[in-house]
Amino acid sequence: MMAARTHKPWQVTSLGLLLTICVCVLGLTAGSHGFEWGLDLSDPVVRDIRLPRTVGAWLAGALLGLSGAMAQALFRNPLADPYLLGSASGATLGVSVALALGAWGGAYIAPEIHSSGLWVWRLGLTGAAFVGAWLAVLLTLMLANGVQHTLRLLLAGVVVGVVLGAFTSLLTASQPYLLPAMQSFLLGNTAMVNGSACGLMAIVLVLCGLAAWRLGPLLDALGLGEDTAKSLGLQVVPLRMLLLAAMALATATAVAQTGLIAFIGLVAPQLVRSQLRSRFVAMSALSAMAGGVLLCMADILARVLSAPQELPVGVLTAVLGGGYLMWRLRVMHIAGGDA
Amino acid sequence: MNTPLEARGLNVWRGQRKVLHDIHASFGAGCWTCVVGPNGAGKTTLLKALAGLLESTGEVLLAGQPLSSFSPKARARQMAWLSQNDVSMDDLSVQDVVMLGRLPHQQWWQGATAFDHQVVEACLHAQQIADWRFRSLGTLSGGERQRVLLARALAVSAPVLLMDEPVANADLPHQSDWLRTVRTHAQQGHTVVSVLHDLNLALCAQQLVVMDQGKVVMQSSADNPMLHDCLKQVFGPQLSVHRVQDRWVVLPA
Repeated sequence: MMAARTHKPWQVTSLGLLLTICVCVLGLTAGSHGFEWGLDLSDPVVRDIRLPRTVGAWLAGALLGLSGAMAQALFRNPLADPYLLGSASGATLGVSVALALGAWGGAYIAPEIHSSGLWVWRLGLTGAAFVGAWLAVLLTLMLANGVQHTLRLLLAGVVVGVVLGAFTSLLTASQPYLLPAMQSFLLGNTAMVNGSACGLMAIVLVLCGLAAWRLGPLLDALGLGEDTAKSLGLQVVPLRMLLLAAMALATATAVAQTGLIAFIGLVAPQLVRSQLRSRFVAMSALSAMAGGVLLCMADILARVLSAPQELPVGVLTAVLGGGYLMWRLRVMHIAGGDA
Repeated sequence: MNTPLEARGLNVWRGQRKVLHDIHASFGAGCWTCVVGPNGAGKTTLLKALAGLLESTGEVLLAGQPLSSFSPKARARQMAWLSQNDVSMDDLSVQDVVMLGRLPHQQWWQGATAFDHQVVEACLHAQQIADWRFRSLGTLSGGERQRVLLARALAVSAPVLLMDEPVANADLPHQSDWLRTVRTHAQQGHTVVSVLHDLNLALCAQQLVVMDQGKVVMQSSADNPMLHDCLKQVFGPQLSVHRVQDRWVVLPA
C-alpha cells in the first residue's frame, strides 16, 4: 500500500481551491495561439467559448472524480472507476442509440449536434447515457456475481466495456451519418460544452454531492463489512442501488456532455488518498475537486500543446492516466502490496 | 419478564445441507454466555442466525418478540454485533469508527447529536483509546484495532451484544482488558453472547453453550461438572478441566 501522508482536510481543501482558481484563470487565457494574458471577460471569445468550456471541463472532471470516489468506496477497491466497471461504455452506447433513434425519427445529426444549446437534447442524451451506464453496471455486477471478488469484478467490467464498445462501433458503422458526431464523442471533447451543459452538470453535481454527503456515514459503515453494516440497521441492497444510481448519473452526465474522458475517475480519488485519509464525505468532495482540476489541466494542455491544432482531451487523459496507472502498478509490484 | 434473546427450534440450511439443527437456547439479562465447539460445529452460524444476518427457520425472540417483527433499525438498537471479519476501514479515524456505532440511533438525514458524541466519548474512555481518537485505523496494531471495534459495538448501547471471536489474535493483556469489559457490561444488566475458540477464556463466562455438528449438546453454567464432561465428550478425552484458584482451566490430559 502506498504510504499516505497525513495532511489535514483543510490543507488539502485549500490546495484544491487554489489549484481550481489557477486552472480556471489559465483556462480562460488559453487560446488557439497559446496563452493570452490580457484577460478581458467582455471579449465574446472568452465569455461565450472559453468560460463555458473551462467551467464545463471542471464540472465534468468533478462529476467523474465524484463517481470514481463512489465506485472505489462502494466496491472497496482502489482500482474501481466508471471506466473499469463498464458504466462509461454503457453511457456511450446509450448516447449512440439516442442519436441513432433521433436520426430515424427524422432529426438531422450534425457533428455538432450534442453541442447544441437545446436543453431537450442535453436531457435526452443525458437520460440515454444514464440508462446505458446503469444497465452496464448491473450487467457487470451480474457477471461478477456481486462485489466480493475484486478480480472477477474488474474482469467483468472490462468484458462489459469491450462488448458494449463493440455494439457502439457496430451501430456507428451501420449508420454512417453518426460517424462525425460519434468520433468527436469517443475521443472526448470539452469544446462541445456550452452554458446549458454547464447548468445540467452543475445540477447533477449538486444532487450527487448531496447523495454522497447524506449517504457518506452509511458507506463508511459498509466499509466495516456487510454483516456489520446490516447489524447497524442498514439496508445494504437499497443503499448500494442508490449509490450505483448516483454513480451512473454522475458518469452519464459527464459523458453525455464531453464524451469519453478516461481515467479521471480513477486517478482523482487516488491522488486524494495519497495525501489524506478521512471519511467518505471528505474524500468524495476532495475527489470531485481533484477531478475538476485534473480535467481542466488536461483541457488546457490539449489546447496549447500543439496550438493552433487542438488535441482531443480524452486521448490526453487516457495517455496521462494510463501512464499513472502503469506507474502505480509498478510501485505495487515493487512494494509487493495492494493498490 | 421476557428473556432478552431466545432461539426456538432454529434451523439453518446452506444449499441442500442443514447446518443448524433444531436449536433451542436462551440468553438471560446480565449474563455472559459463551458458545463453544470444535471447528465446523456451527457456532458462527448460530450467532449470525441470532443476529438475523442469515436466513433461518424456527424462531428467534428478541425481548420476547419475533426478530422478524423488528425493523432493521429497531433491531440494531436492541442488538449490537461484533464480527471477527470486521473489515476495518483504514481511512477512518478511531473516533469516526466508534461513531458508526451510533448509526442505529440516527436518521439518515440527521447528523450525530450531542448525546451521540457523549456516548462515543464514554466508550473511547472506557476502552482507554481516547488518546488515539484522531489516529487512522490503519496505523493501529491488531489488538488496538480490536479495542476500537469493541468500542464501536458498545457505542450502539444495545441491551444485547453478540461477538464472534472478538479476541482472535489478541495478546494476553488485550484478552484481559476484553474480559474486564465484558464482565462489566454483563454486570450492568446487558446480555452478552460470544463465540470463542479459547476454552480457558470461555470458561470465564457464566454460561456455556456447547455445540457439535450443528446441534446444541448442552447449555449450562460454567461451574457444572456435567458441562466439563460434555466438553471432554465433544473435544475429545485428552482434555481435563481443573479448578485453579477461582477459575476453571482446561489442560491437555
